[in-house]
Amino acid sequence: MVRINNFNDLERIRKNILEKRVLEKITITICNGTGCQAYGCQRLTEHFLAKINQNGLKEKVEIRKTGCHGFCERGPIVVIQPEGIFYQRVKIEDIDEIIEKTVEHKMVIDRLLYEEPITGKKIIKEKEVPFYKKQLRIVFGKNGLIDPTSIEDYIAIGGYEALLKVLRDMKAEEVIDEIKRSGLRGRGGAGFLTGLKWEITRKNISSNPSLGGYIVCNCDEGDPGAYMDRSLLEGNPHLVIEGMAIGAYAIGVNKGFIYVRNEYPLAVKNASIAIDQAREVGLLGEDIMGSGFNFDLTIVRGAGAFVSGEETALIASIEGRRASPRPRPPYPAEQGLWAKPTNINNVETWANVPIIISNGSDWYKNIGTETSKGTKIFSLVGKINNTGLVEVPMGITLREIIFDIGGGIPRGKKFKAVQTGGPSGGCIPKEFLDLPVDFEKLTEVGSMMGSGGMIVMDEDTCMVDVARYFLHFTQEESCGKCVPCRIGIRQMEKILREITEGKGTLKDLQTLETLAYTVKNGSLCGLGQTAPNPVLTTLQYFREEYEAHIKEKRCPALVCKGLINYFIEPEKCVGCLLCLKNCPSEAILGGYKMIHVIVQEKCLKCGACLEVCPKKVSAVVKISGEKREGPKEPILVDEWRRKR
Amino acid sequence: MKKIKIKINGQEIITEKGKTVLEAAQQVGIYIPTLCYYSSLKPHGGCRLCLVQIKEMKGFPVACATPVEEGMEIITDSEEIKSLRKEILKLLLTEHPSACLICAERKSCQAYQKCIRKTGITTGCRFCPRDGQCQLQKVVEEIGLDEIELPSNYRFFPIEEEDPFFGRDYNLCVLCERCVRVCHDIRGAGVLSVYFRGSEVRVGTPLGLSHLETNCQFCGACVDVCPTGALYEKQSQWLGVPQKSEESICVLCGLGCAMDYKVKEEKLVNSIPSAKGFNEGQACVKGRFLIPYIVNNRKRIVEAYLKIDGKHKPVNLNEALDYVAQKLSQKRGQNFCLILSPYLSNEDLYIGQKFARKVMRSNSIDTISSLFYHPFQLIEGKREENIFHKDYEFFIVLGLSPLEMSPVLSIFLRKKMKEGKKVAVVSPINSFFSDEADIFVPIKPGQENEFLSSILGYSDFSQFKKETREIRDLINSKGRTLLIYGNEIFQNKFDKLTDLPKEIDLLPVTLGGNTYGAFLLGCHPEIYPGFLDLEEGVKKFSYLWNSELPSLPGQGIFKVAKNSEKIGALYLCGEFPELHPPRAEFIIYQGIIHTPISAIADVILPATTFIETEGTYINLDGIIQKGISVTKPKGEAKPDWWIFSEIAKRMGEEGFDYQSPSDIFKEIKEAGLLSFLKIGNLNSKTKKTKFASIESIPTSAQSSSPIDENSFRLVFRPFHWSYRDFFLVDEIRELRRIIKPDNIYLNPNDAAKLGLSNGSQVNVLTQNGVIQRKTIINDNIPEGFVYSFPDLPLLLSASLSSPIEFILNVQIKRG
Repeated sequence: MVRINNFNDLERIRKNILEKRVLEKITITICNGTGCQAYGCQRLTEHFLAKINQNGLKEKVEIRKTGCHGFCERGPIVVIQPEGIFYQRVKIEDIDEIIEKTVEHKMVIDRLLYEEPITGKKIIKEKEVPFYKKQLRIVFGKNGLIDPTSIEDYIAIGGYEALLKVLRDMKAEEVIDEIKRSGLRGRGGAGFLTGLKWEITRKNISSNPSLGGYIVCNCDEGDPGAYMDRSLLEGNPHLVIEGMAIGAYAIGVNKGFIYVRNEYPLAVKNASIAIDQAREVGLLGEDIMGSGFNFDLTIVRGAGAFVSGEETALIASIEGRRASPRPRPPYPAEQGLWAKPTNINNVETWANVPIIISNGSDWYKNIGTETSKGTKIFSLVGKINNTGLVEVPMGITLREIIFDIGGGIPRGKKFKAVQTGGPSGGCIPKEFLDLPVDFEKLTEVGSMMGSGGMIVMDEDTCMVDVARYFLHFTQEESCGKCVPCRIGIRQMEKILREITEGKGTLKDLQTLETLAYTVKNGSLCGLGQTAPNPVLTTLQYFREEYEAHIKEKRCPALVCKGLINYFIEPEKCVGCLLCLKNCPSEAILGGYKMIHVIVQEKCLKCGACLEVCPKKVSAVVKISGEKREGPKEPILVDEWRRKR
Repeated sequence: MKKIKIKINGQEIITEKGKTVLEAAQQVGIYIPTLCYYSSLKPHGGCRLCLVQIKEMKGFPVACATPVEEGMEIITDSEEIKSLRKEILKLLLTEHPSACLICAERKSCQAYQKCIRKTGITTGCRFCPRDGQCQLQKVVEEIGLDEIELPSNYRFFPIEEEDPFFGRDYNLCVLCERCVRVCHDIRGAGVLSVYFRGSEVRVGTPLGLSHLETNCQFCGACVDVCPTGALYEKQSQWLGVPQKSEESICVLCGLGCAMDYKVKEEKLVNSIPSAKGFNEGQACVKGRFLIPYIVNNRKRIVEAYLKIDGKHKPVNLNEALDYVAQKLSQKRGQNFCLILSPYLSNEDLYIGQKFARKVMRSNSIDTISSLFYHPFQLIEGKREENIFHKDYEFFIVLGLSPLEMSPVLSIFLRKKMKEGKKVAVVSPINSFFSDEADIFVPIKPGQENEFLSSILGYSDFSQFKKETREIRDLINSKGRTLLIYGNEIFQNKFDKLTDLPKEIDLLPVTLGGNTYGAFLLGCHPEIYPGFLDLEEGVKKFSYLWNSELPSLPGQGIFKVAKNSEKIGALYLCGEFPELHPPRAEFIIYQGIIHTPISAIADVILPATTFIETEGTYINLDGIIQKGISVTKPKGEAKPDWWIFSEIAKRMGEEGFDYQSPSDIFKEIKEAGLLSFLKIGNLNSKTKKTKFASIESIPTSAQSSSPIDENSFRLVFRPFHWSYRDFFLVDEIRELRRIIKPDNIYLNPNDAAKLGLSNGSQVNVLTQNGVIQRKTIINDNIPEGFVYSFPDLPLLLSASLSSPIEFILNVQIKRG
């Protein structure tokens, strides 16, 4: 590709690209996001390419490896453009049929379409899939259209237009004003006004221009189950780069860093390719588009700790030190990387920037609620039908996300709670399902926006165990620097563990609350300050579950191993020997046509017996906190029935 | 600094911008508990005990890290804060033995049960080496705790006691990271780090190595900053709380760091670097750990001995002095030879040479320093006093390894680097300090002088053209430059130093605690006090002392040590190289410790150490520092000046009626000797011609590359492990684990060529004899060179003149 030397070049190049693309050419887009890669989309793509070549369709059909489409539950996803025919769970065996029927004869293959779980209706077009219908995919939508490793694809859909606009028509202050007016708030968790942050950093840099400054893109997404930043950087790296270049121009810096988790190899790869491409065509580096503005980016790979995502820890990590947070003030905007003013935003925030510039702050302002503007990408996981990434306007209710987009809870189970904001968010019960989702509302109910994790829990989830699980995570991921976080969380986890083992007392709940208060108020950084949230919210909304564990030694959701037992109902057992043979600890006594008995002392509570017991018999049950009567020793089925 | 107004607990306070809330509170005496805060370290914010409330700031900011702002309103003692602090402290104490801390009877217990400390595992304060000196104890006392409901968690870390000087019990560690921070940020050693994360986090060394295996300098800075008993000094471990603390100086090297000497029952417990001195609370292994080993050594000479029938018999000091006076009155003249030590105070040195010149009519006075330097090397060029407080923009370190010779100097330079000043290190040996320097030039040993010429523009140093140019440019652009040079320069022709451009000041780093004082006060066979030559000296001092004085050059230490001829009387009051057993008709040994030389002396006189007597010392900085008497002298030990004066009086001499060192200092001052401290006053160039021995200064080390393939250049490193007659390495077992005098260091390639591995026994063949050494392979050593600690007898026999040469051609054979 030729180098872009002035403002007109970009437009010219775009025209060239578009001219080259034959309009009627059929494009098969295959999602190559990490989720679909796990389903084997890479081999699928190879086979597609081979088949296309074999059939001599190279001129007519283009295969495009795109970024994540978000609907990861149904991968690998193949969309045939321009019609937008949406095929899900495509296998290599299906390729011949797709080429023959859909590509060559424009016929739809029923079998590969998405079927609505409730109505059973088949849906042909991507846009009409309910999962996408209610979403507003202004940031994430382009992922499915472009090959992330091709700057041409990005330019073809209008990429770098916003940067052009900024460099050609706008002063730095005007850019900041535009972002401020849009009401964009940081998508990393705290929700600080992005424009204001830029302004502060700019002010600090201009008060001492010789010092200089930096901008950083935070892609150290460590929340379990959250992967929106990853999918953005993997699927549309140029959007992030463009956003950063605009930010750098507005703030007045020439150097940026993208800090990526080392566990995201594809993100590192795609972002590196994108940076190289942008540098090659002159969209990064010296004198960008002939404007005289210089900006370059470096990728820094994370050091593998959850806490590195905390901004001061991230700074320490880029500087080559141990990633542990430091007290603020001074804030990074005053003293950041190498003690220079530094503006840190996360991937999604940067990705929003070109969209705001292109469409204008007035347009952006219309999306969302009073205090929270724009859209937010959530990673919808857990006990939900449609696992995946969803981008919704702020203010949408939890119910809409979970039931309309997410398709509800699998196997007809009941919804119990949703945990938002990653491991240190709170668990929101069903009373708040109609809560409009924005920064303030989530905080009001004891949770938080966080980076956008959303874990759905059904009735089979024990809330005490959930709290214990998340505290175990934060306990392990704490950097260990400050006392409340290092020791407080450990003590809390210990108490929770004891409760799940049936060793808790009512006084423990009080201790938990005191500890939670100490950790929340005493900790140094956001990790510790929010870590008690799962405990506090579950104690608030699901206190009866805690009390059941403590008073009745019962786990209502039948999860906590220390409190459950497996029992063979003598009325149902037919003496088939299946459970006996499958028990790993030889805890089941019995014989052919004899009622089996579980020796509780030997039982490991692995649940193998429950799983193998034939459905029509269903003699093995899980119980908690109750005593059931049955034979002490195996007894012939007939004999038992006779006795009764 | 801009003054601003803030409010703490309603009290209006005027403070300065840039201070933290904690500093502002401390300034008016408001107590805020802290553990991880340490004044010389950057705020950490880990212990969370200094939480406060600040109006218009959310949550509870930490006082130690939050800067004050105009109009800030701070609350430090609300009930909310107090209870939060209590809860945090409780959490902290679940991981630190707390039985004694919250025990109801702790007060009375401390009074009656003070001797049950010596246990392997510390389970309570009474078993802890830091009992009574622990910051955690104080914090618990202030915050007030009497119950901890939470279960405790003993971490079962093994106690680490295998390293010399200090031990570690990380079960007591509160993870304030002060040790880690001081080791990284101030010392630059980076031995200690934080490992693991979450509740597993701990302080330790890389890969769990012992400190001996890391590049630990054993400076003890980590021990000094530890708020608990996690890091403890071994020698004072069980001595309890000292009764008094006296500030004085350390004279084990020329820097003269300020130290707090801790004393209990008239016995020195330990010495802690003082935050008030220029050393800012830092010291090296010598000052921090070795002084009690010297002072409290069981081999100390505590009474006088006379040799009767070939055996030393303890006698009354008076008797010994009478005997010496009587003997010496027959030995007057140049054949009387006095060896002083460069570690003695100005007063001792002055009286020593006065005794020799006035009483014994002999100019044969010398110190061991003459083997290393010619006095005029120290007074070349432009020197300034108070260098540590001057604004130099650029520092060149040449011909010395600051980390090895004076670690505190390297800390000073690191600090300057952090302030943005530039530092260039020109040294054959790479270290973590030279790694940090802006410019590092790994020249070959012996090329120091050539390099100096090239940066001054006299010649081109082909090998490091880029670096030379950089240094030259920095001198030109930065202006004020300090050239810090050491022993490796003294080994060379030093002409260049006189021709330095005016923006370059000099700081020679010499061995010995008062080397400059020794030369200034005339402890040299050819120099009278004040750097006067013999002619002028006799003129001046025969008037001042009202006496006839010798005008011919005396015998120096080099001659005395090398000559096999007997001399009349040898008065040893300092270190003496043992080429042969000293030969003299009459030998007086005045020192602090019994050594092989004292064993052959006719009389042994007990002298004091520097902390047992008052005295002044001139440090490298050119400042006269006063040392005070911290403890009483051991046994009958007396200050050297007192002994000299007593003998003189007993020999019927006048002019030795001194009551105290200050009388002597007055005399030194009145003689106008101290005006020479500013060396610029002395025009040494014109004087030089008058001194015979000047010509014998080695013009340049022999060619700087090995002669043939099998031969090596053996470089003797400056040996500073002594204090007057006390050889630290010989006497202190713990030190021998760090400093191995019988090691020889060589490059891995050379070792491979010779087929040697680490620890091989080798014979080092020189023209003058063979020495045995053990090999240590180290890739910091340049190829073709080997390094070792000096073997003075060997060097003496190899050298033809003094100062002796420290680079020899040798061959190495497997032993």
